[in-house]
Amino acid sequence: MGDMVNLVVAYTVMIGLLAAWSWMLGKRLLELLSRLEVIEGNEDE
Amino acid sequence: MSRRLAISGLSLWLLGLVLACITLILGLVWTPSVDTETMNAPAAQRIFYWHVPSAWASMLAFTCLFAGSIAWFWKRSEWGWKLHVAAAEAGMVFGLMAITSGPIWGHAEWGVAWDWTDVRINTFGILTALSAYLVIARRSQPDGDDTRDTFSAIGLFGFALVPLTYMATRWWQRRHPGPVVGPGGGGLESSMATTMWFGVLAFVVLFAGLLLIEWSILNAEQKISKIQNNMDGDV
Repeated sequence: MGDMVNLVVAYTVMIGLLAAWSWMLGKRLLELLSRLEVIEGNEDE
Repeated sequence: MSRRLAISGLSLWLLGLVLACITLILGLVWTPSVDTETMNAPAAQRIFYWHVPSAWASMLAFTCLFAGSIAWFWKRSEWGWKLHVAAAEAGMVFGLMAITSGPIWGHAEWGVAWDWTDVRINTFGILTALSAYLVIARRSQPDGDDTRDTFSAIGLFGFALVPLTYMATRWWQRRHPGPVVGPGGGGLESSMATTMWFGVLAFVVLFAGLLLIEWSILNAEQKISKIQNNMDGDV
């Protein structure tokens, strides 16, 4: 039972790290791309 | 350009996540359990299917960090600097995955989470800490040649730990197991090897996706600051 808990905890931590990093990267990328779009739009005007 | 690169990176990252999930299912359901005579914690042994691929992906990232640092020092190459930044982030993420799962497995298998006398475990820990330092420090410093020189120097000298980490279990094996595949490897049961290699593929795809996403983030940041500088110049 304790052995199984270690397995669950390890994968939870690793999935958590991947999920957190995916969320952060996606958020940063979308923010920058939309900011770039606005700036380029203003520049064209 | 930034947008196309970003879409390619996101697609690869998503593909990598799907492949990693398949690896996890294969590792938990398809591969046989090891017997209790060879391992004290047969369930925790299944941590292996993400632990090893994430560690390998981080070693790949540390190698790219070295290549990027050299390219920056040697040619003042902009792509070299971008490779340095992206690889430092990848090294940190995958290194953290290996370094958090390892002690949990170690605690279950050996009864000890961290062995301070084991060279492999400690050099890998230092490598992950170095890449984390590079990620955090870069965000707190203004970009410029001096900053890039300092961080690239850390990337260059830190790389000395990569071959040391790779060879450590061959030269001074204490607690961390020796190689299971490749020259001098102990060998793996075929379904375990298949799952492990599938995991390696998943993490290499994740690594490639992360590099492209970081690259497009850096491109977008540079483009924004260039446009803003031009606008400030006009005013």
